[in-house]
Amino acid sequence: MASSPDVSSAGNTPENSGSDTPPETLNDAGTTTGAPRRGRVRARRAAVMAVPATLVAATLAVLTAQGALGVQFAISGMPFTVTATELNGTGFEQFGGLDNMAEGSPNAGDTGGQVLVVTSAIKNATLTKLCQSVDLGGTNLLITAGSGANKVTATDLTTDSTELSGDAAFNNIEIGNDASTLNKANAKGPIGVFSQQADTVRIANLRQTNYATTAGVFKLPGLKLRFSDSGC
Amino acid sequence: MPDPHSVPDRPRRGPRLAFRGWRARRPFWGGLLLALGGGEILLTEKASLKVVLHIGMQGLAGYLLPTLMVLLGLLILFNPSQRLFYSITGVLLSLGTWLTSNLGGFFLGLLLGVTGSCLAFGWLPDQEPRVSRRERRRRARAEARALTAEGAEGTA
Repeated sequence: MASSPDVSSAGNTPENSGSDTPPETLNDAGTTTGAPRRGRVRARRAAVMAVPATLVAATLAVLTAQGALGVQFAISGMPFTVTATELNGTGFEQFGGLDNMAEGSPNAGDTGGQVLVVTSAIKNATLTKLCQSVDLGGTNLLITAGSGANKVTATDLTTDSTELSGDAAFNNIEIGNDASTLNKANAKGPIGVFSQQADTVRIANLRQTNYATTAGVFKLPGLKLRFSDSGC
Repeated sequence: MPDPHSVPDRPRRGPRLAFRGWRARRPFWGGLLLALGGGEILLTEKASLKVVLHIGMQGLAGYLLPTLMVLLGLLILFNPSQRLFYSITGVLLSLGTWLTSNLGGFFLGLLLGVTGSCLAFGWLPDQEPRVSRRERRRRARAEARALTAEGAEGTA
């Protein structure tokens, strides 16, 4: 790979001939002479990869903004707020659980690193005007989506929340099941824990404080990500 | 740039110069940026392992891709001869994190990873020292003048 043939052809003008001869053969590293031979990034070579990579990245961003691509989020550990003007879902389950933070997490405080959460699982969910914000201390990372004609859709949406509020309506609700026997969505809780499930769910003015949100596929049309002084 | 005639006889030694030499022999910034990009994406992910395993392969990929980015960045630094394979894999993984890991660590990690991979891909060892554009133009002019002078001599 070492391209040596052009060594003599370049840099051999009358001005500096003869003076820049041997140091790199003695010691390729520690010299500060006029011409140490170093590895270097060739712009044209880098462009061979940079141009297609930029195109692909732009395509991904456009497809995501149009809602054609599902995007997966895995943030949490810090609590974050999710709001939506309306949530419609089929296949709803809810049960209590414990989330464990990473060992020695600075967010643990006096809780021993455990957070009591309510896990809600929805098989197919549609959300209008989704807004998600994380308080980073001083500023908020704000994500909004689904404010246009296309709504946010998610399959196998699971949220671990500490607070949940809104105006809810359920169809065929069963309250008091054992969490390990749930069958309306693809989640199961620990045995011996209270739970409830319903065929359909509709929550207006949804507001959640979450520690984790996961989804099999999460489509976010009209995605906007920005920093903001105020959260959702 | 120091005057070549004032160079001491014995090349100077020191940890900084040794590092400079080490850096000169590998796509240093490429590897570093790729590894940092992977690290940044990993920092944005905090879903507990239980949740990730519950989701299955799709959840795991969110952690797998940035971890591989970090590894490839380090491999570019410590095994630069294989940099083509590493950088091509690195750029694909970086782009893939857009789908799997918080929009590529909220775009920042993706940007670092793609930039790093491109730098590693474009890197070649053992190049001529950098020459400024003005200097290059001056040399080209001098060469052209010499050529025309030769031509004039030939016809005369």
